[in-house]
Amino acid sequence: MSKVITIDNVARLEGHASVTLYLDKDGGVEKAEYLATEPSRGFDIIFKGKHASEVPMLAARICGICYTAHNICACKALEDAWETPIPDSAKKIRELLLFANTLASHALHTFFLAGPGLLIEGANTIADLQKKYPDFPEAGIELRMIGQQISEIIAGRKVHTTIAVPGGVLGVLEQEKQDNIMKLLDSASEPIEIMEDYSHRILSDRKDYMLSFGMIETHFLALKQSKRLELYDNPIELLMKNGKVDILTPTQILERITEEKKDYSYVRHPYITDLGSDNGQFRTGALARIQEDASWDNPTFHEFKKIFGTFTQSTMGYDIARVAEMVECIKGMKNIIKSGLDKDIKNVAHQKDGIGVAVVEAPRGLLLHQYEIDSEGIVRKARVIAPTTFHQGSIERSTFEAAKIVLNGKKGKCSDEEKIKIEQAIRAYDPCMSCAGATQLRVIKKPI
Amino acid sequence: MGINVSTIQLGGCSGCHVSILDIGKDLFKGGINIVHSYLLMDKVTATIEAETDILIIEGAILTNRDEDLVKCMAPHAKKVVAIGSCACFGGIACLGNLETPFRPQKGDFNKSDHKLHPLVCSPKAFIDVDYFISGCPPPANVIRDVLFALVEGKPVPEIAHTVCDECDRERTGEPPPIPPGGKWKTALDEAPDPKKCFLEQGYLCLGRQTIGGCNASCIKANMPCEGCRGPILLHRGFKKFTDEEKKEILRCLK
Repeated sequence: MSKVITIDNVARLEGHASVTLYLDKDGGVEKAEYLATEPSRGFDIIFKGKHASEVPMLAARICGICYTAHNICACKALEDAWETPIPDSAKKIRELLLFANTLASHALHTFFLAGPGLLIEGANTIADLQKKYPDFPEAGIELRMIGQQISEIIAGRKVHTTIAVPGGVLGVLEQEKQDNIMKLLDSASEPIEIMEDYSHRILSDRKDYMLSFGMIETHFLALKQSKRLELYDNPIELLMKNGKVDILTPTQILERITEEKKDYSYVRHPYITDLGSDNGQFRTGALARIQEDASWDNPTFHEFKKIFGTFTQSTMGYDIARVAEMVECIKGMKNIIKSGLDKDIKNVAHQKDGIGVAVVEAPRGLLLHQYEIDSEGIVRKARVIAPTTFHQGSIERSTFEAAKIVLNGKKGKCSDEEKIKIEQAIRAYDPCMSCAGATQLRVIKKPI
Repeated sequence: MGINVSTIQLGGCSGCHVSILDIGKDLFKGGINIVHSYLLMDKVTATIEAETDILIIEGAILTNRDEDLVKCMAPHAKKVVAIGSCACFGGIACLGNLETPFRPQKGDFNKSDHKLHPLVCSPKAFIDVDYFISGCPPPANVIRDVLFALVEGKPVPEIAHTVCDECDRERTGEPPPIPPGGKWKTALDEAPDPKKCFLEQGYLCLGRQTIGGCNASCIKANMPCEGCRGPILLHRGFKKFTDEEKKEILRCLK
């Protein structure tokens, strides 16, 4: 090993992460390490000893981007422990929130974070993008605001929505609010067209790049999809490399994975235990969802299937799958509101001792919460595994593949422009480091 | 032209940065040049030495690097604004101090520059902060008002009222009763009546003590106030906190 290259504090992702590349004496990349440099804020410790009714509110604070998913997943886990059903309208309101949050998160990522580097090779700010394609950032801001405003209409606030509680939700969605949401959704048609145009442009201009950059082989884990985007409740599917499909329960996920401690990162690297750490890597998120039997109907989805095929391992496919999902989010919200909502939104939850575990699809992939509660309703143990935690190993491998392509023939030199190009492979996963380290540092070693 | 703004994130959730983006198109039009923001641009376009007029800090001091970063950035800036309850009081991140001090186990990553800070605390312990915008996260309109007041050189608006003052629920005027046995209703019970005062219904709502400015938005969505903007007695509006807290943090670190 003759040289070490460090990409310190990778920009345009949520939280802090660095990359270390080890080069041999000819300048070839030997190894890549992905460092989560943000320590855990210790949410397992924060939850411990608190009454379970406070947990969904605190859980939302794990992440400033996918707060809705954490809030709802904590509620689902508590409802699992207490065997509390929720009214139909409450489920619909939770789905609306998840769709709105996914739309805002994907718009933020597609336009502000990944967008500049995808449309113009090596570009790194929204300002670079604005010079060449002035309408794209505008559409991105607009689309994001639509998602955030829908959250605000439902939950009263744009960030850290905590309207979901064990047993349902707190606020009724009156007719006036429904009309306002519909108005917002109708105004989304123009920016979403610009968005689809954008993904079409990337696919036609940089097809080879999109197919091959940072490609690795992994399994996929996501909720089974249908004719619509399923984020809240459906069986979990593990799609293996060889095309085999396993149906898992949330508890089975915990039983089948091992979290490997790394001495260079605050976040552990999970893998499927019986397949080993090399073969057992799996990915979740947009790329996994689009491959789990999704049969959506929008132009970007069809284009994705045409170019990437029915089964793909292309990492950059994430960015296109996100655009297809944004269209589905808007459709999904419209359908929920058309199906009608009533005033029955909350069941009384009766606390008892037990273990509750649940998953939802967060914007970045499968999110898992597990709580052990005593008869007084006090949380004894808590565990959160966020999608970015699942992705740690995959991100590291994709970085390695990307670095090999970018640094090929550079004789060990790595300028700032090349670093930005390598970072693009990391950004495809839209990693959220504040989620990834939610409970990692002092996590209980075996499933509780 | 315009004013140069840098944003940094310490140990936090990015929620405050998201709230800054929620200002919307105004942010990109109104004379604000964002010169350093890891969430929005790669840092090669701007270095720490870049001329910074306003430094916005999100999050609490979680690692030694965080402490170094604020000490390095703050002297360059003309005004330092702490946004979010983590940067103002320590917030959610500080809850980790309550149970046990942060102590990494054997084999855990704990490198020197990213080493866990002995005490998770607000950055105000190490630097002078000019304005505090509390909230989890602060509403976009409050951030916008402060930011644009600084850009235009106007006095920064002060908030000296509580969330309760902004709430329009029906109240009897009597002091709210404390429920028998001190047992407040929680999120497990039935949904509250959307028209009547939460406290009078027996739900614990922190609106009476909490700094206003959020337009009682949670309460309007039928959610009792969580007190995310902090107690009104601690500071009024965006004025400086007392030095007592700073001394207390430094005493704990010794």
